[in-house]
Amino acid sequence: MENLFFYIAAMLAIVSASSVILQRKVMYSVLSLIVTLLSVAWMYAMLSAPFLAVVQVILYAGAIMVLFLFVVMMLKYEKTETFRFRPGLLWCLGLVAAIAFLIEIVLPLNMTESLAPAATALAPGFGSIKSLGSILYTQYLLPIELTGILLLVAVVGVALLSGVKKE
Amino acid sequence: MYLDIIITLIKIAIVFGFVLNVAAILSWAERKQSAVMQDRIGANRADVLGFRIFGLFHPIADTIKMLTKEDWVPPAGDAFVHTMAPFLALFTALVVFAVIPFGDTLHIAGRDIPLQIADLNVGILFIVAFGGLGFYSVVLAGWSSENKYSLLGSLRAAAQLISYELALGLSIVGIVMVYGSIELDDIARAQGQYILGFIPYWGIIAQPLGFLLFFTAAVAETKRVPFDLPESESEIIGYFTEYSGMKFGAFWMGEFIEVVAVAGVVTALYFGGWQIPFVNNQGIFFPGLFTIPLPHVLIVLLQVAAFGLKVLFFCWFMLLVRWTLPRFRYDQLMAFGWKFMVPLALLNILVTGLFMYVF
Repeated sequence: MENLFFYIAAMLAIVSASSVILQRKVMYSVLSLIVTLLSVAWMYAMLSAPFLAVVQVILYAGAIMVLFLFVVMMLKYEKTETFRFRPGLLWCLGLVAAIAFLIEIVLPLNMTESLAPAATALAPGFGSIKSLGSILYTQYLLPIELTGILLLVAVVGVALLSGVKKE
Repeated sequence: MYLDIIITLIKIAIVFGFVLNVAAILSWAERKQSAVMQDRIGANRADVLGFRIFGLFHPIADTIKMLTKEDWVPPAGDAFVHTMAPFLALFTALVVFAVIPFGDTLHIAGRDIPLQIADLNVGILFIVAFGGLGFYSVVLAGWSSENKYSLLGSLRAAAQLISYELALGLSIVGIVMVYGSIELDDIARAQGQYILGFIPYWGIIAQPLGFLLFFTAAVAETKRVPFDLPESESEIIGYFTEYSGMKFGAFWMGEFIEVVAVAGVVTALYFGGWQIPFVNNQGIFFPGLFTIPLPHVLIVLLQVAAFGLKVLFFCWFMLLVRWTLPRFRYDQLMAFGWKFMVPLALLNILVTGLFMYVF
């Protein structure tokens, strides 16, 4: 049962991810990307990381994709369909990236030992918000506080850029 | 195994049956209530074989009308996205009910049946996440219509939804701090406590400011008066201008489902969920004085009924608000959201934290 759901989610993620680059219309690429993010969130939820799954939906599918959508909405449709930047150059770069990626995928298959850690029983409450929070605010206190300050600076910057009018 | 699936399906049928029926009746109640408030007679014309029952056939008549209307897609627009947008609106409004608990755990024939469709341990965040995805139906509807007015309407809607989502999320933090959990059934159960022995420890008593902020932001998320700028059905015209037939009906229905959803979430978070004051899992009781025992199934049924009544009360209250207040101007809307609601929500978190530190 769980395997079946995993394969559905994985298939959905792969199909929608390839649809992102294969679609001719920019809007469809954006919508495919949203589906990809949601199906990855689905996998997080099945890997006993429900908080990560929900944050994925709130932040990536719910907030970051909104920006993408706004940009696409404001562009003129016909131009986005036909515009191509240096097709020859993009082909070469794409080919290099594809070969590198293929090697990355094939190499681990030939290894004798598996890269995945051996299956161990999870501690009770693993992946719950309480356990995540207690790790973040004890073991990783400094990074999380620094991230908080960074975000605060960004917020202040946005308020400054958008709020103050030059008379 | 199969029994579990059947029980879950029955729970889904009960919840969605309740929600969809209440949403349909609300479409009539909105007109009738506005009529009563404005000293008119209101929608009472639809009849079946001469029977009118106050006009309760109007939802059925409306549905038949919309299903038989021409379904028109703008030829310059995007047919696929145009069709998908109303379904998204319905989906995001309905999926919220999956985590709202509507009763205490039912012990029957040796089984424990939690009266909640999915007991996720991310609870409230699930509601925030999928409620937030409702944004896409609005934006895609405006964009796919290939109409400048629709696009402007969807931009207004997007700005409003994003702005008030912030206040909504921040006001929930207070309730999470007070009850120490983000699971909705834990929160509902924690609201069965009493302060000073006789005042029910409901969210509205623990978080009065949080309740006002949450309710205001939630009404703004449903895009209804006084926050109905995205629609402005009387003059400006919003994101669903280019919709007709049942697709328009789906947006309409989605709005009423959102009303029921907001009522459900407000009840679960701030009005004790399924708790009835002075009724616990033994029976009617008064703390420290007496207890009148009641059978378990009866108590659970009473609690489910209490939850339904609270939801209906909030639906009624939201209709009342809709026909009482005028609409915000756009700049007032934005200033209210960012300069009033968000700072107050932050203050609420601060004061809640101080209280919890002191006591």
